[in-house]
Amino acid sequence: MPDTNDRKAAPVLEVTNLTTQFFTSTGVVHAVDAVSFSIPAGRALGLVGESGSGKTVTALSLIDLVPPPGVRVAGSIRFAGRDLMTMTSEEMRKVQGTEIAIVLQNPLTSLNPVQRIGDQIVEIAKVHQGLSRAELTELAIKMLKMVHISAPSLRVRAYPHELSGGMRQRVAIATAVSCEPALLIADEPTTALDVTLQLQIICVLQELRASSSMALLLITHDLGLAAELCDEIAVMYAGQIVEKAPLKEIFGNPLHPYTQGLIRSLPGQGQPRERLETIAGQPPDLISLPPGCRFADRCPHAVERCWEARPALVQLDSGREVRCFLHDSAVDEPLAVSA
Amino acid sequence: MAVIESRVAPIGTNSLPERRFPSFRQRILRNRPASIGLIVLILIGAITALTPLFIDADRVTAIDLTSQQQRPSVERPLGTDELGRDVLVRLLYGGRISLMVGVGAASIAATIGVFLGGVSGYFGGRVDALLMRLTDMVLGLPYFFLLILFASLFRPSVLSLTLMIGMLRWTTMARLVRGEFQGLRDRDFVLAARATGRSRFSIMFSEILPNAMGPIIVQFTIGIAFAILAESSISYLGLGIRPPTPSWGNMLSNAQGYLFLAPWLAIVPGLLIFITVLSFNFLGDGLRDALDPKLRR
Amino acid sequence: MSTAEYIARRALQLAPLLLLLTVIVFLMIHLAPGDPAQNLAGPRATDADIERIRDAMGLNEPIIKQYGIWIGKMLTGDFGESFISHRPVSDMIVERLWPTALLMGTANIVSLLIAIPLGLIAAVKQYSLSDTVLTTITFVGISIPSFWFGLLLMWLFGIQLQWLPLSGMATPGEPATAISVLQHLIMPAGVIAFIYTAFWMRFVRSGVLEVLTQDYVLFARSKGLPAKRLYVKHVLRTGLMPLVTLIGLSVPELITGSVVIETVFSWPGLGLLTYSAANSRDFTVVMALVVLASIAVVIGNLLADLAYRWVDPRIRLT
Repeated sequence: MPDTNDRKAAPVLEVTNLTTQFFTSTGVVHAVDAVSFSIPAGRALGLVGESGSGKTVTALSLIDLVPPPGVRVAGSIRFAGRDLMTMTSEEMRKVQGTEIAIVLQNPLTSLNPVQRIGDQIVEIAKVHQGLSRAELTELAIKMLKMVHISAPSLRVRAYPHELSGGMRQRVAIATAVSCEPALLIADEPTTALDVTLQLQIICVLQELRASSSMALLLITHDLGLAAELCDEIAVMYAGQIVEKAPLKEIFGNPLHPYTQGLIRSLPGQGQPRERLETIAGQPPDLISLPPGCRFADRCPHAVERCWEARPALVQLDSGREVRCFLHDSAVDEPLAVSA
Repeated sequence: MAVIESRVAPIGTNSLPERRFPSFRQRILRNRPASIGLIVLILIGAITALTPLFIDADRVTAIDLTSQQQRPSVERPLGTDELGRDVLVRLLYGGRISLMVGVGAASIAATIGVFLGGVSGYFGGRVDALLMRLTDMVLGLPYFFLLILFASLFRPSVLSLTLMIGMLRWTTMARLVRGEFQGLRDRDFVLAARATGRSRFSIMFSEILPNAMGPIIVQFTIGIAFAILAESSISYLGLGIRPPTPSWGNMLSNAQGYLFLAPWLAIVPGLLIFITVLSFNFLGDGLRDALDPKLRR
Repeated sequence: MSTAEYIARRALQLAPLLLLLTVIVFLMIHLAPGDPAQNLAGPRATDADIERIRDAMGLNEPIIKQYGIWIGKMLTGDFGESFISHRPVSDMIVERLWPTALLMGTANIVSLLIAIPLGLIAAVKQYSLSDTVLTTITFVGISIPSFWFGLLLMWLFGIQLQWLPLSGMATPGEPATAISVLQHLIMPAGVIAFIYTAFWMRFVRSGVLEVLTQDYVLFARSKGLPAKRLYVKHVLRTGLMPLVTLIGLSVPELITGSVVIETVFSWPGLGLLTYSAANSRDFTVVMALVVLASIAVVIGNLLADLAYRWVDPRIRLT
């Protein structure tokens, strides 16, 4: 993997203040709130958070696939020198699949059940690159080989239901990378699979990264998975990024209490037979957000100020970012460390 | 046909909160076509039910050859038909018949369907298999043709026609109820009832059935719509309710011959069938939406 | 299993149905008030006719044997003679097959061509004005009495505007050209097509709605596919699967025709034959038509089944 300290790699994706909201009959849902991050070419960013944190909506927002009643209301998404937010759908269509591709969470439902997998894999190439029949078949077999699916020349004519879940997910990955996109978004690629299959998928993704300059945006709730694949981690909570740092520093020195909670709750942290730690409480209602810090109710270190004002995402000297008053040097009043 | 509501976003968006659930009454009243349908049906029902109080039954068949096919006038608001009979009077009495047959047939179909479907769904196993084969067979019958054969052979009365229509239409209800009962029979309250040693039939009909009433009522409402159409179609063909007894359907078959001279004779009864059936369909659809637990719309 | 095996198996399953039906029809004739021979002979028969029929029908034989004879005759294509016209029923049926096929075939094709795109639009633009309009049309279509609709059109286009002929397949005295047949065809086919479209559009809409929220549609979208490919290959391909079954179930009416509409417009097909035979108590004809209808239902079910299996690779036959 490229040197994690190399800051000269140009960002392939630069997201600034992306805000996506859902206009429902019960109110406006602030799913993604001024989220910013960037991914240098060839690197991997892990977007980590629990269900409902907005990570999937962020991913869908990048490629303009947010389902109604969702709308991307603000922000910019710079990719390959252009702002994706200002593109027309026709222009966006050219980017989708060929330059940015996505792999979805549930392999059992993300493939078209009535279309042969060979056809599905090369569909992007067929539509965008106009290859011949022979070239397409060749491509399909090549992709299947790349994800280690045996008997590829037979399998191209198979239907999804003839394959196992793990195989289907690999087919989905093969589809996504068939046109060598600059960025691959993987949304919970292993969540629907059992542990042994997870390793397979991790291997495939690692190989892909090693053999190309493809950048990866990994969406997951599993910090452990992120650790296997990512250079940098951005932790999301209730629609906002609360901490962003290189992988080693997140694990070595987590600053935000939520991140600390996430790490503590990883299995294997404590003694064997100890109960797994959890973070007590529930995320806030994204329609009526609290006036203060969104994590305050569940934070073991919260002080009065945390309920009154909203902490901003602050960049520390080391280049890391945290959204917490505990680490906000602009705060004058001394803060008690424990509530 | 629900009122415009934002759709809850599907896959990929885990960040949406629970929706608040408005009450059943609110939901059905919000659905305008259903509410209008309900009002229309109440009106039609009330008017036809109360008709004998205001209009003598003899006027239905009172032939007056001196005033054939008169245009609508103050005295005879809808004019007269080819035998000089007051169209409005026949329409009202005909409505009683058509509605009675419609509701009656749907009730019969519902009763048979609930019973067979309930037994099938609750007991399962061979009983279920047998009843499902029976249902498949009945589904495979050319329904309308049998009705025609029956009607031409037996010159049915209102009652027998109602029975016949009902007996051929219970399959949808049976399937529906079977599904509901299958879903409900393993629920806790059923197990509790069985533990107290109550008879199976008692459990079926006093415990499970009330919980399945929603879809049953929806299907029943829609069933009435179809039964009314069936009766009017067969009466139109001259094989259902026979003149001089009026039915909206047979009034139309008489009227066809006079389409040049007296088009209203054809337009009005059919319009009433249409409005009634439409109202039942709107109502049924509205009920279905209001009862839908998924609220995906 | 192979297609042939499957057909054989299903046919075997459906055979008892046909049998049940013939029993029902047979019993009805014999349970009807009055002497069966008299029923069959119709109101214009003389005593000698009736006796002849009794003998010919073997009415003096035990009932089971009578039933057997009847079935036997049908299997050889002998459906008896009409007691009104004394013509063989099979001839009468055959000569009416084409008008009915023309009418129903046209109506079905037109309905499909309209229902699929409209249903797709209604689903994709759910809750928009187009959807509301289309759903309203659907409700109208499933609630409107077909004969009334026919009469209305007849009055409007035939009498008031005089654009179209009122009835029949051809106007007496005029040559039956393709154009004149077409003119006669428009209204009856239009009524049937309107109603079919209403039913089918509903199905398409709900089928497509089911599919639109599926993951694989999202995945397909992420590939940057042009709209046409997305909707045809991904949405419709799966969303129309339920419709295939529904179409199979409309096959019976394709064969036997719409009794009501053919009656309204005096279209000389099997439907009109059913109407006139039933009203004139020409029972041999009616019985034959009922049996034909049952066979049509069996065929329709079978076709629907096969079609569904062909369309869904998950349950495909070899």
